[in-house]
Amino acid sequence: MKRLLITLFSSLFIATGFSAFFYHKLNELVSENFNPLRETVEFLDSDTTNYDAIFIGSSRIYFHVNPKIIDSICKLNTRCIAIDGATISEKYIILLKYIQHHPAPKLLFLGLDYTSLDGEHLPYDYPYYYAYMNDPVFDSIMSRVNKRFYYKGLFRFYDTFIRISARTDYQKYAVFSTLITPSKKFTDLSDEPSWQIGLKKYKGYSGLERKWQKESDLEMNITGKPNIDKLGVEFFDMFVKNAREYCPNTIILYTPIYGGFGRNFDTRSFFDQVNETAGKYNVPFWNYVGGKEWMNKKFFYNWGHLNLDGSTLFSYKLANDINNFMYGTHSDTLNGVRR
Amino acid sequence: MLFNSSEFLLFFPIVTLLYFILPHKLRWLHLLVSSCVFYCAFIPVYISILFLTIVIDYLAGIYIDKNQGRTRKVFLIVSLITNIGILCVFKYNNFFIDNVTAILQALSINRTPISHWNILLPLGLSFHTFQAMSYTIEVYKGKQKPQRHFGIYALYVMFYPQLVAGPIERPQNVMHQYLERHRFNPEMFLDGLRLMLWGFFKKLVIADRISVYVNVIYDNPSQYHSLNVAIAMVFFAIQIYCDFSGYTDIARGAARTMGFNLMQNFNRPYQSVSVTEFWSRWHISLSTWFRDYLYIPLGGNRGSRFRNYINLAIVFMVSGLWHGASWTFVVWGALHGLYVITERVGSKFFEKIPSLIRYVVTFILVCLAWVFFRAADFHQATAIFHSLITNFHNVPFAWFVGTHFGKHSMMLSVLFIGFMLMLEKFTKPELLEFNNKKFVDIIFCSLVLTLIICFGIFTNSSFIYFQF
Repeated sequence: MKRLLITLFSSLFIATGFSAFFYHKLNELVSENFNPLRETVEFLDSDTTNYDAIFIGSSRIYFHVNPKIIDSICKLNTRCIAIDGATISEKYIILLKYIQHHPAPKLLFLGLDYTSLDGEHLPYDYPYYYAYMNDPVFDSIMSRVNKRFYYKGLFRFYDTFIRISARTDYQKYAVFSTLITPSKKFTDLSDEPSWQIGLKKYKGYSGLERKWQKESDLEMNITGKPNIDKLGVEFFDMFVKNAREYCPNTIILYTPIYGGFGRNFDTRSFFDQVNETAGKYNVPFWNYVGGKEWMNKKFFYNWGHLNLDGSTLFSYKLANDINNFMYGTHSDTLNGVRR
Repeated sequence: MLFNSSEFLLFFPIVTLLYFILPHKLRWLHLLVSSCVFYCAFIPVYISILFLTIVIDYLAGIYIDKNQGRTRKVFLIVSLITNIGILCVFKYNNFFIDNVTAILQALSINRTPISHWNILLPLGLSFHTFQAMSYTIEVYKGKQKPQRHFGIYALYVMFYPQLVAGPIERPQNVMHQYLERHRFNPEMFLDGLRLMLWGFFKKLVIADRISVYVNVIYDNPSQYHSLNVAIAMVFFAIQIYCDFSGYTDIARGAARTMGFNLMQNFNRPYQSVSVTEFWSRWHISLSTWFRDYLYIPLGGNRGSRFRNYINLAIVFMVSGLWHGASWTFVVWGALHGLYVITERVGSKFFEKIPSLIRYVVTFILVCLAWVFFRAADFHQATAIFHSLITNFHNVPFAWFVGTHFGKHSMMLSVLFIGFMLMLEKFTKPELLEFNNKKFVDIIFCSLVLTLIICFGIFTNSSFIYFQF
């Protein structure tokens, strides 16, 4: 019995000690160097540039809208401000934080996704928001999204552990290698080196040279409809209202998705709600879903994300439409419906 | 319930603790109820199928014992038909429908495909039906007395550690253990925990890590270099070993903590120098089941050489079909049959070849056969072999496979596989060597536990053999 107890407790003690140190260090280094929100939050807190146009949204903004193309064609100073997997609550946080330090741009775009009216949906990387809950803007929005953001202590520790333990081998290596070579820079921990190949970064944009991923074929036949809840509609309404007051030229933008996606996915209630709010505040809604070119997989790497070729094509189209909107030129390429 | 789920982390200590707290007369009931809870975590309604076979086999056992001559045989046949019938209905119905459709279409009798039955395969059906059959056969042979305690018989079929993926036990080995009074034995408890820990290491740290690589290559072999495909083939051999033997280790370990001894199912199979030896080390409980209940009744080694080879071919093909309702599994079984027959034909020649070469050749042959086991259909298997041969020059070698498996995962995988192979080479499969070395035991347990926590893949992925 003595042998059992000694082996059991010593093993538990040693293993817990080592792994606790491992995860503590991993968490600390991730928070210091690789928090996926850090770059965006630091930009929002410290940048004071007077931008002409800003694009707020999720990965479907930072993969799709290339400011270099927009700037060159429209003669504007453009910036994408997007968070991976952002729902409407995070986009609203971006808007409120941006307003704090920046004069109003000439154009303000809100990028939407099917999940945008699902206000109670937890953010993609939600444990990383814990680090910013002392910020009144984060606190006021996120604490309404989910009770998780009220709680502290063990609950947060558990969430963080689950997120940290899901790090891939490369990510664990990348984090710990900063201890040996602190000067080594990893552009984004969420991206494996295979994702970094040909990655073109510019003013919040990340163009990706990537062919269509076969796994995405499995997602083509999604059924049902997008989730819409009261909180999502409320945040969306507040976003559009505040954005409209801040910048009269606020535009709601739905960037392309692959045309073969979701034939049995009923999006009518989603677009009805978007149109209703857009109409209420007299805000244009530029919807790029359904164009012929978006039936071609060569422009996408999965159903919801354009690759470098796709984003270049889309950015040219968008730039033309911005020109048309601002200066009334006749090169209307908008293949959705402008309302 | 999956062994690698958070529910099991609660289930296991509660069941084990209660087992020792409860008086002996209530323990069988406790284990039976716990096994029901374990099974119902999957699809609860399927427990009724299990209950049906238990009742029929229980009664068959008693009536076989009571009667003489033809009547005994009738009860045995009733039991066997029930078990095999359930297996056919739930596992082979769509396979049968597909083949009938293909034949009708080939004969131009009916061009419309017959629709499939939309039913899910009950978990571990092949395992518990084979275990139930071994009971009635052993009673019929007179080697096992019928179990008159219904609860104990039900526990024989349902004992939670081996319910869904074996080992496929024999009544002589375990039935008496459910009646014995097990006192808490610290040594056995520690042995059990150590074995479970090792099983979790193999499943969570190795199998689930390399499965990422294997899945990506098998989904799209034409996009990858021959070397990538070859690595995927070797990785699958390791994956299926770590997955299945990992499950067995956890099952045997969990049983051992309560004082039960389940049979050994794996004995370092990739250290075999022939495919015949491989089958004496791989899934031992199934190999011996087929040997005792199919190969020997078919005539076994008796009769002419040719008859012996035919018997071997039949056994291996049926074994393939047991694994899955698809012709790819039959081909997998047939290939192994061919290997074993070839070894018997040329045994004198093969014995002269140095062990190292035989070891390497055996491993390569087994890896090649696994392609049919892993592939979803012949098209995918052909694509794998095609890419293995033709993609040497026209496709570049990829360090990164998919989005999450690169040099670092490869390095860790090779390191962990090496650690596993070395440790299993120098210890018994039960890791009992550590009993006499207290400090080595503490180092081993601490190291393995740390590796599981820090490098385990906690995605609750199911065990491969659960589908059988």
